[in-house]
Amino acid sequence: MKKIQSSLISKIDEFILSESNKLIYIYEIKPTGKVIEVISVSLNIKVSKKWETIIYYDSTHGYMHRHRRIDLTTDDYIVDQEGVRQRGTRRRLLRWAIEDLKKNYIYYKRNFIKNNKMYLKRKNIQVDIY
Amino acid sequence: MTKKMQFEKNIELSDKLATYLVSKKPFKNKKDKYTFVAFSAKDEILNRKNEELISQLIKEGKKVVKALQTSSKNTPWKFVFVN
Repeated sequence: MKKIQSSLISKIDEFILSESNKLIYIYEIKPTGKVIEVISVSLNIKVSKKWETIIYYDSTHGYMHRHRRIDLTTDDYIVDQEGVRQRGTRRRLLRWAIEDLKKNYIYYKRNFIKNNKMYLKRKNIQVDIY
Repeated sequence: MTKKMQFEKNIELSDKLATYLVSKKPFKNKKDKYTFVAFSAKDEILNRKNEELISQLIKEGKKVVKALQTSSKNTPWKFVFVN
């Protein structure tokens, strides 16, 4: 996942969901340590012992984007806002992102695996859906 | 418990944990990157499955924290630093 540019301090925490899935939250912390806010959340999957980000949401510019990883050979993402909630506080936007992941992770993951079908086949890599 | 169930239960638990971490800031002075494994206050089967994840994470070099959900409203989470 691309690093988020900010004059504030970023803190990263990971939350394990299963053997091959995890969420990564990035918090923005003011130097005083008093305000902490989630600015990005991503879904990461394990592909042949390596963790790969397949989708992340961020609200670093005040409105939210969804970044979908194109394939495993590059670190390029398709950025879109289609169906993505735009209005609200950062907290509300990120809450929406979590709900979207809960509802649609299978779709995102299957889609990603489908897009990488040839690569995975060539490398003889199996990826668990869950 | 299937991997699907584990995944879905953990996404709910992680959401609650992240909300707590953001609002209560229990680790605000710690700069390290932690990997949290959430443990439910009630679901023992999920907890056993999650316990199995820890050794692999340590092998990967992660700093693992067990986040234990409690039934207390005042302290809904307790933390155990594994390594």
